[in-house]
Amino acid sequence: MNWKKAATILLGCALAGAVLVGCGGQQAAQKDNNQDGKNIVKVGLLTRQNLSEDKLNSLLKEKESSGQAMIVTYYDNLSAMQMALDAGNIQSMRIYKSVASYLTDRNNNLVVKEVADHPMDEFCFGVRKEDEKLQADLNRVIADMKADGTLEKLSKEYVTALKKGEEPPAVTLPFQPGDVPLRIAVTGDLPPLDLVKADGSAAGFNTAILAEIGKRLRCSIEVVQVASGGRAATLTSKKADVVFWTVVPVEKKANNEAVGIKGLFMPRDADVPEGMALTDSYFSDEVVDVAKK
Amino acid sequence: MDTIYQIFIANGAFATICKGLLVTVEISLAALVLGTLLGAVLCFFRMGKNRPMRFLTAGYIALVRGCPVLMLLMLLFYGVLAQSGLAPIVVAILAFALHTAAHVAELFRSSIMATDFGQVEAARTLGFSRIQAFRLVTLPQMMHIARPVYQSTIVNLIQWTSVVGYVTITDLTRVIYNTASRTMQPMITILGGMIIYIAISYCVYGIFAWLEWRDKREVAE
Repeated sequence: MNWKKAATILLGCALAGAVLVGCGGQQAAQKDNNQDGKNIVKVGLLTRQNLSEDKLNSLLKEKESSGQAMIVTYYDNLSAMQMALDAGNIQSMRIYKSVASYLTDRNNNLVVKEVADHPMDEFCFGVRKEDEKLQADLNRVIADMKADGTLEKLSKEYVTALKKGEEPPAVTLPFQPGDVPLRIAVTGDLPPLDLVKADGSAAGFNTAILAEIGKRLRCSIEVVQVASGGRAATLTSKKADVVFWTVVPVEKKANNEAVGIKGLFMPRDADVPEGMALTDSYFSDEVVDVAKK
Repeated sequence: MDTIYQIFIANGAFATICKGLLVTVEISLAALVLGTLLGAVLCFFRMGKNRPMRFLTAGYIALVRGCPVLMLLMLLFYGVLAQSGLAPIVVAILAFALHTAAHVAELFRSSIMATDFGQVEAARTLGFSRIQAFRLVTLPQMMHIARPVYQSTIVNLIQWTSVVGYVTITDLTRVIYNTASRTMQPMITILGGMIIYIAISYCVYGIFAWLEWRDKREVAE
């Protein structure tokens, strides 16, 4: 009798689920795709801290070409975005090419699609505005590393020359007991640029850059791990001295105005919170779409 | 099977997950002890005769219970205690203890209110002191009434700690996210993480079930 009761309840739940999915899931998604006769593309993007999802979508709406509209949904981290893609909440995720390669190497169901007239995002360091000396030091080291080919060598070793399924090698960060270390916040959310290895140690291209900076500035480096959404607060509250950041480049003629970015119409300071200053960029990467095959 | 091995065990992943788990348990346990003690003090003032203290504690409880624990944590870590030099884990324990205390205070209050005050009056008539009446009459009944909700409070507290990644602490959730990003297998990894959290919760349920079983056995004897 109890088994019968349990089976009836389970069947009822399954039926209710099926009805709910039927009402709000697939059909609603199809309806979205055909609103106003336009093909709406739902794209996932990592959260921009200085530009709300609504604002970005309104900017995109202003600039959209006829016949194709894009709706952007923000995700705090890559895992959440990947699950949204798997669940069909978004049709593609717009991420960096290096990260996309790392992802598709490990997931055969996904494919990289080039974004037409794609923008190149720049990677740089974020420091507190008042830390002008640190900003200047970092800029100097970045310029030196660019000039002597170190940046190119590291990007090859840790990003472009990675074999399929291979993780970037571990890096030993300079640390002298008694030193006041330069505390750098990492998220571990963006492999192979920023990841945490199985043994819990920070690794990736960004970490390799850190090790080089530590050597050149002759200072100890301490890695502080924080969730992506907490980076700005970590910096401004002096829990870390440097954070990794990306900036959206604008076309030269746009002169840093709010529109005119290739592909995505996003202001350059879309992800730069108040009180933060950015260094020169040390790396740039294409932005691509990752979608299901 | 190989995927699961690669995600959760290979290259020291298991040890890293265990470290994360230990951090979660440490924060939860310390916050629970501190929060329960503070909650008892709050409850004492909330039910006391001192009117200003009663209002003050009522205000504190309303404020903290209505505030998401992540915001309280970030407010303490990045604001109020930013320059204190306290370790992130200490700030986290403090934040969760403050939050738990508000819930525990209300839990204790409702449990005391659910006991029969006439029994305390009877005990006092029989010559019990106030403390004796509380310890021997109210407390055992109150603990019995509070137990199921207190158990839920503990499980909730363990789940609340999953936000400590925002304040530079690498707990179980953070380790799971790191693993998901590294392996690019978020579904399996998060499912694994969920199973670990459920297992911790069932340990808590198990302890309370054992306590209940022990009580019943004592009554039967």
